[in-house]
Amino acid sequence: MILNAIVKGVEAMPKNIPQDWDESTVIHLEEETFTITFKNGDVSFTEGDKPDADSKIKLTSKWLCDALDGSTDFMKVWIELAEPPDKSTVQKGSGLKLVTLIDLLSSTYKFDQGFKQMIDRCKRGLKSV
Amino acid sequence: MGNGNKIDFKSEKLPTFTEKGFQPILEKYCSRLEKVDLQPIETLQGRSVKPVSEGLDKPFAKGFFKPFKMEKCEKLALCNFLIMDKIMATSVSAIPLDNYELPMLALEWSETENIISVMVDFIPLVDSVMKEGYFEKYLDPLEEYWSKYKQLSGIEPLPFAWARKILGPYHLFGNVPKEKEQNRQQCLELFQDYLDMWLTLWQGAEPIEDERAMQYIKDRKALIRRMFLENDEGGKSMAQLIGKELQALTALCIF
Repeated sequence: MILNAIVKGVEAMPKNIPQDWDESTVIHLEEETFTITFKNGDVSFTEGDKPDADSKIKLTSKWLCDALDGSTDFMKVWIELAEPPDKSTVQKGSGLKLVTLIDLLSSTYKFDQGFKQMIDRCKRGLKSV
Repeated sequence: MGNGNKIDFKSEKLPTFTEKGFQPILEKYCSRLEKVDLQPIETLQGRSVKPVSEGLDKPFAKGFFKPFKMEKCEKLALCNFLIMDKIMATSVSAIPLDNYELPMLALEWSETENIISVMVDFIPLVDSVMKEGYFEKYLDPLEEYWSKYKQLSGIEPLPFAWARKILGPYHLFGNVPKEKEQNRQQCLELFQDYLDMWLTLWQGAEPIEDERAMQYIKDRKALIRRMFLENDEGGKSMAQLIGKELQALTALCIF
């Protein structure tokens, strides 16, 4: 599961989340849904939806893996999440905090072998379209 | 500031990010603007702009937003900043005074490792259908550049309908792949050509005296400002990165 990989990545990444961020974001992938909570400079995860979340984002697993391993240029990550042309991806609230998390995790991918291997494994396991 | 990579501009030292591998777009702008008499603005609407004009340094955003006094204009603004060490964004904007029919200048450049995202336009402040001769004088001069650069790889329709409502007929937008030197060079030339043309029109612009026409320009600028502030998702994202107060100050500098 991509969530397991992301949790591993967050453990290894530099702790750069602003202290005043207080927001929850639900990520809907094809085969999993999880909620990311930013609070007090920390990031935590729970499986499943959170109906009163501040943001809801719908992505494909491939898109997310490509963003995390740097296959997708960061401009496209920014456009899709921070300045989306329509509401198909960011269905509620803002995708900006997810952009910052992807930024931190994509840097972590470059130096943390454990996280890298988990993301690479997730990508290999994706069903081909 | 003070090494050879920093540019001098009317004794103001403006930090660039070319040392990080980005294109020297700010240097290009400033070399064109050297011949214009620009004086730094220090306060706008009673607020000091120093928190953003003398350098913003936040965890996810670093750079500056600098407004300048310019003849015939409310202001000309330069901004250059880095988002998350991955996106360099720079822009030149100019807002004419109410008694000039000159279009607003809007040049935006965002750059990552592989892509240059550009948006260039002369935003009309007059109804170009109703005002005889306006289109020919202030917009049509862009025809040759628009025709040349619309073929650049990655140039496409701007996806935001609210923005297309505001923009002029010769705007260009696109996400240009950087892999070819020719693409990078053409993006730099695109900016230079639009800026040079606007400066040429600015030099020749004469003030109008029709009170109703001036009120129309004032009202139109106010509406454009409001539409931009309400709809620009980039601004809302910046507010999350640097805080609402600083983001509002950057918007004040640009508009």
